[in-house]
Amino acid sequence: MAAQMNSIERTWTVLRGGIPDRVPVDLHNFMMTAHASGLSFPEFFQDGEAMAEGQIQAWREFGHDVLLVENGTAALAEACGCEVEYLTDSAPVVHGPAIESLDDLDKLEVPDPHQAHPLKENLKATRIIAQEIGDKAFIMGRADQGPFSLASMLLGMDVFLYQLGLTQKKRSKRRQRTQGNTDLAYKIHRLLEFSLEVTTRYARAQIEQGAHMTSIGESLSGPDVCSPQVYKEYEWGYAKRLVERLQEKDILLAYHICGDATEIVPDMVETGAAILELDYKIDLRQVKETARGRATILGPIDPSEVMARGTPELVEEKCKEAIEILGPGGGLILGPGCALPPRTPPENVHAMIEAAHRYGRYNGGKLRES
Amino acid sequence: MSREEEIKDGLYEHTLDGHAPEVKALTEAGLALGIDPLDLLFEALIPALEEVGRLFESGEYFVPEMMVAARAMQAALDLLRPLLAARGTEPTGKIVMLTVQGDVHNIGKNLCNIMLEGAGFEIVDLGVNVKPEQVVAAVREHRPQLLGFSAFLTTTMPHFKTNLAALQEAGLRDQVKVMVGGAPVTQDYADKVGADGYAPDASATVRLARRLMKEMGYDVGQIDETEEAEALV
Repeated sequence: MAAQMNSIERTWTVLRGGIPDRVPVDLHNFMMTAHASGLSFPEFFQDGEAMAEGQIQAWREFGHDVLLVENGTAALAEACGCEVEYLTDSAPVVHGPAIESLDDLDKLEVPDPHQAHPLKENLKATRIIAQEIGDKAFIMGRADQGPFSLASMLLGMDVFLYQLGLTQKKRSKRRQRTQGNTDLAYKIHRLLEFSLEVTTRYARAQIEQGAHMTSIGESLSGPDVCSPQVYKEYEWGYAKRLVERLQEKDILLAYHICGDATEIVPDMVETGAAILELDYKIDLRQVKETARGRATILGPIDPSEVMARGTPELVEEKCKEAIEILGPGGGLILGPGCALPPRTPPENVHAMIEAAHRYGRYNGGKLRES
Repeated sequence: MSREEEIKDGLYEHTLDGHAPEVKALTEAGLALGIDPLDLLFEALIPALEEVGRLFESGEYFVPEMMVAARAMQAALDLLRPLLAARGTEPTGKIVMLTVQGDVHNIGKNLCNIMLEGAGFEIVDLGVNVKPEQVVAAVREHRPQLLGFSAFLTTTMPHFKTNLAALQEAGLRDQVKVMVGGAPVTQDYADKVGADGYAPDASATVRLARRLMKEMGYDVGQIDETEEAEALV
């Protein structure tokens, strides 16, 4: 059986479909690092050096295997011209769209991630972390929002979802399955094409700074908001093309959709993404069967009720359950299903790490290898 | 089918399908024909809205479909509202709605507003990022029976508690019932902060509002208790 591995060997082994010494752990802790920094949140999230230091400090404290480097969900949107508000106690949020309507697409420009604020700060953070601890910890960049979620911010989330609703075929009793609006669908696809360019460019830049892989968030396209049909028509193909474009450069992608994504997990697997980042609401057994041997699952611990508001005993119980269902045969990186709130108790994070050590060992006979 | 039935039927179908221009035109046609605005509301729009809620809960409609249906409904309500107000039709009740401080998400709240208005409530929308002192001022000014707090983030949910404390401080807490909702909110959390009710989505909010009104002694007609119990599971 595998001898003791370091975090990088452990994570690569899982991603290549092998059996590591134990289940690796990821933290989605950028808000915790902001809280711990003593700086104001707006200051921290626009300062690459501070974000790097925050991540490195957290790694020294917790010793997790995978670091996720990001400053929230609004970085690409801001770089593309959205109005963004930096909140004092949480991640920045998009306040206003970059374009007035789908007829303004020509006003959008793909930002240069090395020049545009705040992308260059995130890249700086990634670079510093890679230089300092990139030989010991596995570094995952966040190419921010994927094409679907980015497009929703550029146009305004309510307008975007409304327009998607207009493209859908209808179901009323008299006009069964009337045709959706195809001209509108074309314009939405043009916006998604633009967003794909933006995300691809930013994703590649992260690897150039030393990240081991990268990731996107596409939660808005999941079944908590959109139908599997909308997902298939307006998200799936773009995620798949992003995966393929990155594979050309040997870059792996983690694909995050929180909420209950169970219904679309088979499609998510088909994109070819190396990691599916999934939340506590999923059906663990069903998802394990679907992803087995094809994609690694990252998650699925509830960041709020368990990690932020639960006890270390509850964290241990939930992690044990997740490892027992998702861990056999490899294919699991244990972590929270979404971002940890700023005031998540450190003892709960320690409890998660300890659970991986206690229940996630493959060579102690506790966890089956196949 | 009589012309009146055709109009009501068309209104129902087009609201369900989210065709705002058709809904507006049919509402105008109905009014021109002399159909009572209340009949348009209760015999076409509210049944459509209930069907939208049912389709959402059964997983056939998602947020985009619900948004187009709500926007279509809004087109009719914009025409009916002044007519109903002019002849002194009493609303079912008055509700102040808001998204809490630090939170700018408005989609869920706005869907609730349209559904509640469609069900006959008068809505005062304070918008997003609303501070506790604004909540207190709005309760003093508008004297609503119900208050609705929305939060989309785990980091802004604690403002439910801040708002409730501010109402307590101002001596207004027992004058209103408070409903809470939003993506990360649960019944358990609502109970913990001392809210009077929680609803997981817009159509459940309508049932919750009617139940709370009834608890306060208002006449809101029949409520299907089993339906509500199911929605809370």
